[in-house]
Amino acid sequence: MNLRPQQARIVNEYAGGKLAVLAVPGSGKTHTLAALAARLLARGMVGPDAEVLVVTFTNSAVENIRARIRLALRDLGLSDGGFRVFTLHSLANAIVRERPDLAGVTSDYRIDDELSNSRTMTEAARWFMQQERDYWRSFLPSDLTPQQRCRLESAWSDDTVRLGAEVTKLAKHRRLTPAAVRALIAAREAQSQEQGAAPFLRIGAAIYERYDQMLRAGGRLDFDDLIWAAIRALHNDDDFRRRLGRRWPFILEDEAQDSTPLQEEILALLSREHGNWVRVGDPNQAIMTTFTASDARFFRAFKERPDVRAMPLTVSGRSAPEIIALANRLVDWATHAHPDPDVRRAALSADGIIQPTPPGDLQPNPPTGRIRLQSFDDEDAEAQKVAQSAVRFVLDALDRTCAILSPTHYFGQRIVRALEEIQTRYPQRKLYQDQLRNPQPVRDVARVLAQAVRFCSQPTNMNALVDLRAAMIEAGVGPTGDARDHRVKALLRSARPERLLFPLSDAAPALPVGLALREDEAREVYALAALTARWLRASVLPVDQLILAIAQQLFTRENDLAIAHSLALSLRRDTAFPPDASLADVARELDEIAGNRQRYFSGSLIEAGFQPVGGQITVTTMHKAKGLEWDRVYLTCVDEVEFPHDASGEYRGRAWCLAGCDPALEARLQLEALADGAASRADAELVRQARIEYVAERLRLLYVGVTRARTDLFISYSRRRMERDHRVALAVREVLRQAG
Amino acid sequence: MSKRYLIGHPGVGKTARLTERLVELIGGGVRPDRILILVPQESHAQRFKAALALAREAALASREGRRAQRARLGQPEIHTFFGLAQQHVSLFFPRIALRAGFADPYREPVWMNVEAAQYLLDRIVAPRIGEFEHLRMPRSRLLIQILDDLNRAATMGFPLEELADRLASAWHGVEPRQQAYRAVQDIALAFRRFCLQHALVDFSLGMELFRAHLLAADFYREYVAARYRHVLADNVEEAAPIIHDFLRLLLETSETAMLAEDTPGGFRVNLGAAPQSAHALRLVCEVTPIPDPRLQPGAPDSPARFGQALMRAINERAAQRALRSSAVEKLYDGEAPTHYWATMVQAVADRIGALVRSGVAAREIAVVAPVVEDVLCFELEERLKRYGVGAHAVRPSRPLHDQPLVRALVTFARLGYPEWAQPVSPSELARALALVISGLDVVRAQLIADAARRACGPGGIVALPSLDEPSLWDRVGQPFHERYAALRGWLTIWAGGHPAQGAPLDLFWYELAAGPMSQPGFVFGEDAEAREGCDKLIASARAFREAFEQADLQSWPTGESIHPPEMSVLGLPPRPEVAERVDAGQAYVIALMQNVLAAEYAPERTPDVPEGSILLAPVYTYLTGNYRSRYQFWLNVNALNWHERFYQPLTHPYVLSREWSPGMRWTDDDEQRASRDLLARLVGGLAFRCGDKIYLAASRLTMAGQEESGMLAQALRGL
Repeated sequence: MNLRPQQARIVNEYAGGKLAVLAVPGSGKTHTLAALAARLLARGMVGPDAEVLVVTFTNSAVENIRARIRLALRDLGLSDGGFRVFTLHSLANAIVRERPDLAGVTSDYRIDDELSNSRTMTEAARWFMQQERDYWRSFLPSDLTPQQRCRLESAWSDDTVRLGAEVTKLAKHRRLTPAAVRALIAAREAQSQEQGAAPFLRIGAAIYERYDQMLRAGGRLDFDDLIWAAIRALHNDDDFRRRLGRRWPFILEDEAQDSTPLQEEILALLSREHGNWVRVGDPNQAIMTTFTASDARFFRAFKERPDVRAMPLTVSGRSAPEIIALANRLVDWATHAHPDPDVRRAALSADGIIQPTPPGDLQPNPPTGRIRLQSFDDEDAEAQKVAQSAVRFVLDALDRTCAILSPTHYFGQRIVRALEEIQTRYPQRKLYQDQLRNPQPVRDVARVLAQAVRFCSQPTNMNALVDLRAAMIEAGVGPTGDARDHRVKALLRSARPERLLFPLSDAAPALPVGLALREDEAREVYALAALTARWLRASVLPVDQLILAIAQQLFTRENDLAIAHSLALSLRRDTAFPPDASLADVARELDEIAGNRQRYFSGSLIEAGFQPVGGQITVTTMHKAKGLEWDRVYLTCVDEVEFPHDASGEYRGRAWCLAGCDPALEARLQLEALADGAASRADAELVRQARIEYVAERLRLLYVGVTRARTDLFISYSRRRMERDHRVALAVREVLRQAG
Repeated sequence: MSKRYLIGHPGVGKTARLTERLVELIGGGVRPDRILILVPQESHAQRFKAALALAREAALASREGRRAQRARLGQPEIHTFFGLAQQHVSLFFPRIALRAGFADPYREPVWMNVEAAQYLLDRIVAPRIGEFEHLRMPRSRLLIQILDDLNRAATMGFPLEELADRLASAWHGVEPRQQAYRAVQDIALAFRRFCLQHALVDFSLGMELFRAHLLAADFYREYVAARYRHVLADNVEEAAPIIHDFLRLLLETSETAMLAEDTPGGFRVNLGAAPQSAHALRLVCEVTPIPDPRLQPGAPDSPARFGQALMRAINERAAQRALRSSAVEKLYDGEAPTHYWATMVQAVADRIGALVRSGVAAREIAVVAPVVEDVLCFELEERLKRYGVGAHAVRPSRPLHDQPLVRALVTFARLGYPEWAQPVSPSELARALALVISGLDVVRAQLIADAARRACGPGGIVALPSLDEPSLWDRVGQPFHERYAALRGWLTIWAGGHPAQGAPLDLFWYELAAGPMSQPGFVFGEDAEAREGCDKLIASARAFREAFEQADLQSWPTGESIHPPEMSVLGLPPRPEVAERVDAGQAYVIALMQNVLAAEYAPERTPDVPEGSILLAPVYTYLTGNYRSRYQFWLNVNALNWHERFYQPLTHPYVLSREWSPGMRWTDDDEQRASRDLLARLVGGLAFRCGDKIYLAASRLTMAGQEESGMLAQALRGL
């Protein structure tokens, strides 16, 4: 394996103990981890019954790192095996699964993915709003026209869902059960003798309680519960914990900056006896956080511990020198020159200064790059111009990759609309991929499944079969054919489904006569008929089993199978009454996922197995771009609203329906304070702390955006957006000014 | 020889010796009605019945008049372990009821099935659900665990009042569980009180009555001593400790006895099977180990030999131990880069096809897996069709709710009881029709359902309309018209007529099955399996109704028993208002569709495999059904669930057993040992039941696209 000197040092020198590796973007941390795992095995440091445990953040990274370790083992002349790669969630699942009784669940517990999770949360919030209709309404002004009321109620109801979700998440991270939260509120109330204090926290707590009941009744665990359950299992039986420690005598953790304290605790528990725990991460890229649960400071704190050794990975061949310089200047400005001293401490770490590769490196930096700052009159202009520029780029360079990154989903949609319009002029070529909500692989799988389930729900409708065929061809699964073959389409439309799919021996011909089909066309039609007839026979099964049966015949990629499986589970209805949600409902829900109307998945794109395609523009959010790189990157909406510098100023997330207060933030801060057992900090101070963290996180988000670009980085903003005037983000102005 | 105890592997001829002994007894002039034969399940009785018929023939033909005369004197009693206990409890009920605490000792008791017990328990649990805040499980699981605890206390013979302390003493986690254990115990006791109050007997109470009020009573000992002079008992390792107590009594009081123990065994864990407690019986018997000819030196290589080596490898944790056998074949390549679940199923189907083509009868082949999902059944069945082979799945533990036939019968019930106001959707109707009308596919069924929807209008289908457009039946086929019309006619008459008579749901299903559905053109006329499934549902609904009526649940005070609104969360939609008055049928359907009702615990009979089909069964079902095959396919050998027991925090198969001394802690080492021991017994049990060859099948990725590598996979590494 080819290793850079810094990488080789880690691989050769590490023989045990705790190690923190600070790795800048593009410095090859996965590569280094794989080499280290192989080296530990080669040195015979892992017994026959034991495994090197590699923990990484994303599902697709699991496959990637597994393949690399296998390769490294082969290079060293070793046989496959002796290691195990998990995501933190799959590790937690493996732990719980081994002893569910210790975690307080039964063996048939189920894991809720984001889809069912958000569905449950919405229902819990709705239940609250129904139960406490008057109380809930009392937060809105009373003198409203019916129209205004309707608008405000709808906005407040969205905010209520968010409020419930955030209180739930925070409570779980603080390991507070609904009863514990209730007790905290009651104690506070008794102490202060103040009736009805902390109203938003009470609402959030009520929703949390309901949500928790719903999950409990179904034996379901959401992702946070899963982590919590694993910790409980490890705490509840020391022998069990020690046994797992012996099984995994070395723990290598990737993307450590994204681990929450709870997740960190799992690994700390597992490594308690042997202490062999390598954490690789970049605190400057800690952006998975919507609030304090995961935070750059946790990984930094780990690094500072006296029993932890630190080693750097600072050489990166990803970007051109100009872009590296810009990223470094951003770090420098944020740590030394930011106007707010608290932000200086919280935002970025000066350890993360990127060094370009030395001469002779196998992955050298691109020789030159371009950075451009553009301002536009308004957001329409920004969306139009950026889209046009990106299209010109991909039309010229089929082999080069390009992304338009937006800080918000909303602006991303405007870009997509602009691209849609341009796309009509290029019918022959797909110019862009909309990756805003659900990554393409998830949507492709959902789209095919939606059509398949829809056809099962209305097997007499041949148009549904035609749509199914088109979806299968587009996704490259099932019988091959040409989607535009009008003869096949016409034939399917005119066929009698019962004759085509379930021919009776004595009956009329399966296909209408008169259309002479080519042999390959006939083969396709019959293969399609055989396949769909089979699904129809399976359609008497429960819906999850039907989806699994369909998936087993369509998909061969590991990732696709995994997606189909999790879709099947989340669409499973085991308690509906009347008896079952119809297949048509399930198809509709799959459609919503495929069409990005329903969020299924909020992780990064790379998590879903996405890779940029040359000659196509990727449109996504900056959050989801993590871990990926493109030749050219457009960073949009880089203004003072999205990337504020002033922690005392206004910032996004306020509920406009409630005249400027932010229920979710208030509730969270209240809960934090109660859980810390203190009114020690004044409310105003808590609010300021939250805003500093927000400002710091937005700076890291900007840093992630900048470091996605290999050669070209185009930064843009609008002077007028959302009916207000805007300026470019101070950070960008300052670092570009320094650069001249 | 008067008391004999046979021990041996499955397949060495223990049952044969028992039946020979039966013949010998009758041939020797013993009165048949003085003989007691005990077996683990009803279908096991077949071999004894066959032997009996032969013996009687021989005796009748013999010249000695006295012997022939004796042979005419009645029948030997053949019982399942629990069947006998239940019968004797019923027999002596009037005598023991008062002392046992029944509120009205003169009231005839109703025996509850699991479904009724679950339903009743659900109503007791509902107001206390908050006490399980730290635990997370579906309501049905909670109910099952409490029933499990009740059953364990009864079959092991410890008082319910000890339950919480036993569980608590073995638990040593940092978080408190005492409160939850206490709640379980309180609920179990409340359930017991309710049963005594209303003369309801569930499995646990039945066993408790047997233990505390019969086994310990002098009159009963005298009765047993007079009644049973000769005892034959097979598979005693599958019996629970209180049955072992009963056997000990029989050993004391009878003239002769022959008991047989299968080893490895003890697979009826749910019913308290306890091989260790059977060991005590050996002390009072002459023990005869029966050697396994397949393991003798010089015997050809066999699955049994492999099984023995594999058991050793698992028990000794000898992952490196070389396993060599010509009676085993892997259907996968350990080095293969990708291997999907679907590819594994295909490989299995192809090999089965090849075997059948080479002349092996399909029913001599079995496919076993730790879990048999619908999708596995479906996929295997589809792939075997190409070879003209059927797949007969035996899955007794499948929830009723998930069985398509049950769903179809519920759909028809909703059409038969319009006052429930539960209209049927076209796709439900289409699926139900396709399931019960033979030869009707889903597409043609959908054509009918579409027409029905058009005829019924927007309110949904509450009654089947008459559909007479010729164009419809031209497409669907005339024969189906007649069948539809017959079904519709019957349903219309039922729906119009029954409310006055208040006809119960089980009667509806019974009449439906016996009436239109038994006609030619409907599956019940042709498909024995479907008919049996329906019979089970009818029996379940009937037993449910009897319990429901006995407890007068219809008018049960609703204040405390019906879920308060915030608790009405079995799932997402709030529970429909059961509060007012529902009859037993509607309550049954609601509970069934909400999945509160689980499946039966252990089947009394395991069906035979029909000609031309292979057997597909979960490992436990295969073992408890005591199936034998020439060829076995073990699926997913990498999977973790080969060795994982079903974990449940509120019950414990080891801690709630007789071997467990109160106060001991259950450690992770114990857990590991138990897993290992269980896995070894499972694979041994399988291998000793296999004649010619075992095929191992695995995929690198599970159905969910994940990698697994369990204890079995480790042990097989040496292969």
